[in-house]
Amino acid sequence: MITNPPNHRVVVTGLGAVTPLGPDAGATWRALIAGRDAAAPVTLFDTSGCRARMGATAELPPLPQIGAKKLSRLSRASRLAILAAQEALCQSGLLDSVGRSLQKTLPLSVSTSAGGMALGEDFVRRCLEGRKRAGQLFRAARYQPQQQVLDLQEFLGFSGPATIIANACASGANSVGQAADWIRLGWNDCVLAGGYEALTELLYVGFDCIQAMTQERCRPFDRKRSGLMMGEASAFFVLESEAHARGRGAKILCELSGYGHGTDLHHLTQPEPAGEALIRAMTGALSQARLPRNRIGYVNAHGTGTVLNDTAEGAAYQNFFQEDLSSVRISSTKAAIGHTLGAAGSVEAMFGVQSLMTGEIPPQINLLEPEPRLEKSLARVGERLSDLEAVMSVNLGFGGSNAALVFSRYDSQM
Amino acid sequence: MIRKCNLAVCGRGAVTPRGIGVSSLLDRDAWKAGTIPSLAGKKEGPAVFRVDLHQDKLAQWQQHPRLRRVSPITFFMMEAAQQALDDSGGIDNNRLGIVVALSGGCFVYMRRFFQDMLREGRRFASPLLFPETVYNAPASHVASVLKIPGPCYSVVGDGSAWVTAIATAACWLELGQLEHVLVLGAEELDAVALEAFQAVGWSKKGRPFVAAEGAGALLLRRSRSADRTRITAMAEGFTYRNKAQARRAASECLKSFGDSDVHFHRSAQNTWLGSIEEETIRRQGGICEGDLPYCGEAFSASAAWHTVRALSSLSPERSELRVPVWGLNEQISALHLSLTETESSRVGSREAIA
Repeated sequence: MITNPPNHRVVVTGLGAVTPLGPDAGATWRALIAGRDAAAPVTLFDTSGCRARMGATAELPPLPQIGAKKLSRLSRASRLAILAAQEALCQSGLLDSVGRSLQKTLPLSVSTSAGGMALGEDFVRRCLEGRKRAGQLFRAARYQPQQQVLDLQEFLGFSGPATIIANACASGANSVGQAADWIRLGWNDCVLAGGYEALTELLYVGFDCIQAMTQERCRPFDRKRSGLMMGEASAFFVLESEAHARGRGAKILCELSGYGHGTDLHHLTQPEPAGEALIRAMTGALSQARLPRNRIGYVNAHGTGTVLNDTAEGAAYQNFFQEDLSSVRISSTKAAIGHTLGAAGSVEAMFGVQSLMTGEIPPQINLLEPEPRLEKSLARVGERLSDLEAVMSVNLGFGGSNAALVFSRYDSQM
Repeated sequence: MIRKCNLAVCGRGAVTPRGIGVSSLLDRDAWKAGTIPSLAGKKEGPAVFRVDLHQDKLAQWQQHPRLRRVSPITFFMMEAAQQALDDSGGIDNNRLGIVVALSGGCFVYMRRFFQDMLREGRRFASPLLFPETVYNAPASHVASVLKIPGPCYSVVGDGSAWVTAIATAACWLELGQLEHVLVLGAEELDAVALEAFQAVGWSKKGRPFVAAEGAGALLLRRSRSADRTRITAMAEGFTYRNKAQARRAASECLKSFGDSDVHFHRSAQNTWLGSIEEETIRRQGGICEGDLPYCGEAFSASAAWHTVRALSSLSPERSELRVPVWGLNEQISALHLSLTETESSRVGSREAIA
């Protein structure tokens, strides 16, 4: 006999991030709300020959608890991930005085598009140039995404099952949604979930060669938009069952009330123009959250700034929100921090949670001529919504993966 | 960590270096090894098990408009997926999801893209190759060609990603979000991968490791009383970074089921974990099964093949079987399989005997 599945409430108790706007979640949020962007010439690798030259790179804070030799062997991706995960655990009260997890068994749901690809690129370059294999072990062994998982576990002192989701640009939302599913089902009562992406030459040249990148400012939902800006970042969440969080007296930041996902079958790199898959994902997330659409006050949009993405996304919002569209605030924070690929869904979901907690709305920056159908919805600098009850974060991925997360104010009486 | 589940296996598929279909995994004939030229193209690389892309069933997928420029891994996945779906009629695609487990992903296109970029310069990097280097490109093609609009995930790791993929499917099914989930493990070979295997010491001279490629597939759903073959538990989360930790992880993984005298399907042959497998199973009082030919190491595809082989070896006399999945650089996981004798299967057996 098939029985109804359990449905535990999922709450957020910790957030952490490293982004091009700041070394932690708080600094990033302040810069974002102030309307700053992190666009600058990329210096991590040579960009000569590329059409684009700009990107948003993060300044990595130190990791004093890791010795110099081990630090030199950590990929940039691992450093991004460790710092953000540590901050999330700290906020949730799950970090000890030396920066290690108090939760020794801690399932991990994580996302990336390229893992430690910079090491892999170096390995391939040396192989193709016929250079000796000395020193290659480290590069070959450490570039795969599972190595960043092992780094997280080693340096933060926990173990447990780990899922690495690589669904391109929607992965970060999928990793958070997947973690929530584990808790809803009763498989786990506390999960570390998030995404990370370090900017690498292969990714940069790849997006440049398909002419998806802008040569000026990234302008999501603007009629003069000309492409995306690449970025790098990481963001992590501590998700818990309501009972677990309350049982240990944790401060509950909000509830992760809905998750929806689906696949756009139209094309590998182009979204279907009406955004049907995104509408399905948003419908699924709202249905799980048991909320009407007019309760969503803010949508952190995918908004890459490419012509095709923003057209499909705009169509989806128009069809989904209908007459409520003008009362929803929408912005794409990729104009400020760039497209962080496997991290994007987690970073942007974090911005949604910060909106919910503060009432502040990340503005849609770099607008010259807003897309007419979204003009009334795009958030301006300094906008606040004091009665914000729920927010949505949506992502569309290369390959057709679409995901939506809904976060609601936590109400212990529900 | 043990996760109990109750999954019925209602379809299977395989593309292996030995041929197309599950029967290729059970064939005892010697597997033929080939080679791939090294990256420099001057010398032949180590022996490998390759899939012949010219076989009719794989060539047929190459005619599909969506698949004109894809990496071989996509053809392996397409064929394995179709076999698993063909095993079970009447699937509602709107209630079907896909999870793909990968280790290297699209190695061939990644190397070609990077190689072209280095040779021709960044400005001339290929816009046709780049999209195919992305981990989830093959899964996206499978979803599109088979018209499956539900969730489609690519999970990455060593061979143990196969168990992660099954756990992902189990979660969706247990939550009632989907009726069926197609789980795929796939890998393709390229010279750059072989260089990496040599660099990390997996294919040293004198070690019988043979890199392989292909795909395996299972079609899963929540089991009902009439279902015979099931996956009933998954052990996950036993990670390691060195040999001593691997030994401990293996022991803890197999112990986590909390029983002994269990039959194990051997699956670590010829890898550096082979000796640890034998030792760990012996210490647990387990009984080793599986004397089928070595099918090479294709990571999550190998894990899928071992699961398919183990499912095929279930019988009323050996109705419980454990499949350790020996990830080579991250974690050790395991699946527990069982065969349930149902009234219909008993009738079927009696009729067969009669």
